[in-house]
Amino acid sequence: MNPKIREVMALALEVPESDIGDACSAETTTNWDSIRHLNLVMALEDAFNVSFSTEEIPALQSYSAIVRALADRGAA
Amino acid sequence: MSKSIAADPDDYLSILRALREYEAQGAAWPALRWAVVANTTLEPMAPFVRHLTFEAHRRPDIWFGGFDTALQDALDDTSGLFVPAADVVVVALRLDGLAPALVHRFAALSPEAVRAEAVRAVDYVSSIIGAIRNRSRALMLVHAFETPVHPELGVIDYGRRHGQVNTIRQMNLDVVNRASAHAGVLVVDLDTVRGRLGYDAFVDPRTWQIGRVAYTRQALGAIAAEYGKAIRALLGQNRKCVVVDADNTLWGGVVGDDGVEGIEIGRTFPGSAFVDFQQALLALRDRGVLLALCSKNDSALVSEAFTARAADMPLRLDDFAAVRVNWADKAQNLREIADELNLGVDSFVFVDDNPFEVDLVRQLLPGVYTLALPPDPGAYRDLIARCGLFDALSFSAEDRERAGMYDAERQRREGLAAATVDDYLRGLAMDVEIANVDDRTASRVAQLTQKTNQFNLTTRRYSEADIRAMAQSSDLDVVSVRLTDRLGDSGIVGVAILKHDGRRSTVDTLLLSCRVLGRGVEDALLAACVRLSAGRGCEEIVGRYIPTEKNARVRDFYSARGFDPNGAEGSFVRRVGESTADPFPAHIRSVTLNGERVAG
Repeated sequence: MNPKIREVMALALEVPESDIGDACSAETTTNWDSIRHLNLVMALEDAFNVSFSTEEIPALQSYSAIVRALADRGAA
Repeated sequence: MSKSIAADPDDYLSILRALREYEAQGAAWPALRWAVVANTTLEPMAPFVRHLTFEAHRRPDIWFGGFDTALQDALDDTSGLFVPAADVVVVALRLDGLAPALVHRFAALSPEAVRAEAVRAVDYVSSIIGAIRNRSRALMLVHAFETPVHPELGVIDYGRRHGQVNTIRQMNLDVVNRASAHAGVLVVDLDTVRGRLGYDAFVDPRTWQIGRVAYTRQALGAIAAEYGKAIRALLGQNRKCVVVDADNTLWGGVVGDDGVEGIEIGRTFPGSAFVDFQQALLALRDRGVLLALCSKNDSALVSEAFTARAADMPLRLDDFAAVRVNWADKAQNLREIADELNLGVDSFVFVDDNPFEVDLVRQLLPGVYTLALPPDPGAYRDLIARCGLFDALSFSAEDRERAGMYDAERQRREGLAAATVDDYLRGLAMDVEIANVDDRTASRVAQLTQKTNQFNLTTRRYSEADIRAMAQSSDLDVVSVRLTDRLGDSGIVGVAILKHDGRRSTVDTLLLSCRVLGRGVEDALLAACVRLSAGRGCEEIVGRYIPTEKNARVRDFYSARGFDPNGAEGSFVRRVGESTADPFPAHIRSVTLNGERVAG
């Protein structure tokens, strides 16, 4: 796992880092509600100095989707 | 005080990291309960609000009302605004939701329709403020409406008295007018915050579309920073004194090397930048913030610089409430200045161009807020304004004159060296007026409860609304102390709050501004409390000392004045009756209690 993504996800979703795994997604994580989702997007944009489009933001529903979106930008 | 957890306000991740640490460290801190009513999704504000609350060493508890249910929440006695009672209420109503036509279809509206919409929106906000104030003493932070950056009528809009921008500005003035009818309501001007950040950094069209989150993380942080100023003021944590260096701070160059004629201060750059900085310091002094000078220098030379270059300098040496120009270390000088001004060093901001001095103070006196000046003197001026550490919840004539009062205090002290203390105090011809709080004094009394740390037996903080409510209560006496003497009017310098319950009176609050300590005013105030208690037919008076990091000097206040320990730690009691009524200090020329002359 990318340790920085993991830290950002844990902080924004307010869960222990140990709860964030490769298979982590909004469906499997109780704390991942719509508000924390927006907090997570803000935290990712801040941590990786990127900006997601309006269409992308709702689609970042899992660790793997986040990794893909950041990799597309060469950010992680 | 436990350590501050560093976080860069512009760095969202560092805020989240700091929150993790604070969750553990701040678990036992007293709670500060927030309630937020909004017509947009303001929940992403929560991390910033929690962070600023922890910074003030309070444990945050935040309740968000439903989406656009502000009025229902405000009218419901059982809503999260009131149960449990909020300490701070944020009212964040965006015009977008309140009167969408004013925002999106302004040009389609007739002047009458514009007026009707404007009145409706302002009435709605002020009825929410009123409904909350009827049920709560919380500090209210009300968002003003944002004006459009691209007004619908384009370039002619601002020239029209009733154009879109001016209509919304007028609505904001109307909200301010309505809000000022209540105590403890602050209006947060979002346009000012947006002006600092720029529009594109302020609103986020993406999150607005997705979840009705209007603001960027930078904007949320900057708006929360405004809340933070109010919270620090409410909790008495804002800074009261700025200590500045001289060389390369008040002027360019080193007076010892360049001579008084060689230092840079005056009309042209770089001297003009130092003039601007001196003016910013004077503006703080006008607000009631004290200035102190602390410079490693030859003191005669610094004095000469102020006199020889007086025509170029906005500041005079007399503008400083305390001056330390010597070769001793600055931490030691700061401690001495704190003693001289009767302030704690944690009410200081220290400004110096020398990174060594800044670091030394940071290490030895971690309570001092340090500002290291950047290399470019052109940037000095805004540095002071930017730090946002000097806010108070009110501004009164006393504030404007405070710095001058310290000048008078310095004269008093210089007189003190010449004679015996008692002769000197008699010669001051002090007149003390103690009176129940009224409309004119409630704001200052609340401010004293919020700001006074050292001579404060219980350190209970009250809002103006609290004070007004207590003043109405029949079993409470809320009194203020005003001091006038030969050298001037010190204004209201002390407060006592007494609760009478059957045969016993309890001193809820007893505090005195530090600048009048040691003159017997505290004895006059306690004697007045005993009289008030006796007047209510009470038989005993109970005083408490609640220790804080700053009020150790009053630990023995009651035991030194005939009170006996009363069981619990920090609780003291004595009998009340004609025979034990305290005499008023003989060196005070006169004491009046609610207009009646009781001594002198």
